[in-house]
Amino acid sequence: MADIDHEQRAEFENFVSAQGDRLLHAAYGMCGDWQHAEDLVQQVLLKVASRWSRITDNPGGYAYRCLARANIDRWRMLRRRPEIITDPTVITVVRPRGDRPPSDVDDRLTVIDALRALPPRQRAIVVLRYLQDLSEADTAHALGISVGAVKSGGARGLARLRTANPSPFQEVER
Amino acid sequence: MIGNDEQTIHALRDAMATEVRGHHLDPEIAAAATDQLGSARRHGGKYAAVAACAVGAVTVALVYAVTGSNAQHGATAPTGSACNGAVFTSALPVWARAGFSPDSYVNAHVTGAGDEIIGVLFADPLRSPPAPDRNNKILWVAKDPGTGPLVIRAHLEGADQEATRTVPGGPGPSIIDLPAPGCWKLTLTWSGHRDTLAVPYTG
Repeated sequence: MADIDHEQRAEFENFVSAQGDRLLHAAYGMCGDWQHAEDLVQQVLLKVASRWSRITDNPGGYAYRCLARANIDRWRMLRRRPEIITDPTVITVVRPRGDRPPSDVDDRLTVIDALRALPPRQRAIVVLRYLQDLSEADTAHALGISVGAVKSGGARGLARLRTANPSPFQEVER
Repeated sequence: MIGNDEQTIHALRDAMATEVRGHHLDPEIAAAATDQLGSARRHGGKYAAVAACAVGAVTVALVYAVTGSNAQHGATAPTGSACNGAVFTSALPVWARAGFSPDSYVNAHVTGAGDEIIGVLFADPLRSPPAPDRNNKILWVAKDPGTGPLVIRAHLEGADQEATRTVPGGPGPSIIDLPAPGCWKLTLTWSGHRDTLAVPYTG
């Protein structure tokens, strides 16, 4: 470590300190599993670290781009391997309440389930644009798509979240 | 509860804020990444540079740093050898774990510089000539295994010696015997994919 530029090291540590939790939460939003989220962030931070001296502008954007791509890679792998049955994309959004009245916990879990049920790229758009507050341009850059695709994908994602919320299940209670 | 986009976003943010509460990045992950900042600069050479770009490779390096349990069997190779730190005995990359039980995530393996393939080593170390009581079994796991054969072109570091091996069924179980001990640089091609890695064979 003797040849490490202390200033660069400090900059990187500051970056991780500032962005680490945000990346972890974004990863969780994208993949729906804390263990995989940690794995994804590990990958991302190591990749950012390995290129730190060459990342001259917007390391956060680069990190989100790595995260989105790593998650897509992971999702593609899960899809190719049918023995994996925990693909978050197959998690049902149906959560019958039985005789219990609706609660805040039900609402929260239903929203989270609905997010997990979105297609991976649409989910990534929703997570980056609306949960991480990235601009449309930054979201597009992170995902390697156009701003228009961010707008349309985000709108569709929100529409699907809207239709997945508790009202459909209230019929179960009658 | 959700009538328009703003309300939907608000509900989503509330739900996620509750969901992520108390979940923070493991400081050891941050520390390991910082260590990688140093090692990426410290290593030179074509293979090291490519490896630095390989997410999978750095992932296992991270696990090594976190767990402290990653024996790197290439460590005795000469300085600058592609086999320095080539073999990891840590958790497999996430994408390569399908079919493995959680107990077997940790296994000796080598990772492709392009993060397209790993070789899980069921003989550790690999030996040339082969050990009488254990095959040089390598399980190749590719992100996209394809349908064609896996062709391995091997070049012995520091020598002119080369060898070619074919795994007819593509990435999967194989016995890879190579003609001499040393650091072998492998170029693997299968179903339109290509990746490189280094594997040490012990005499």
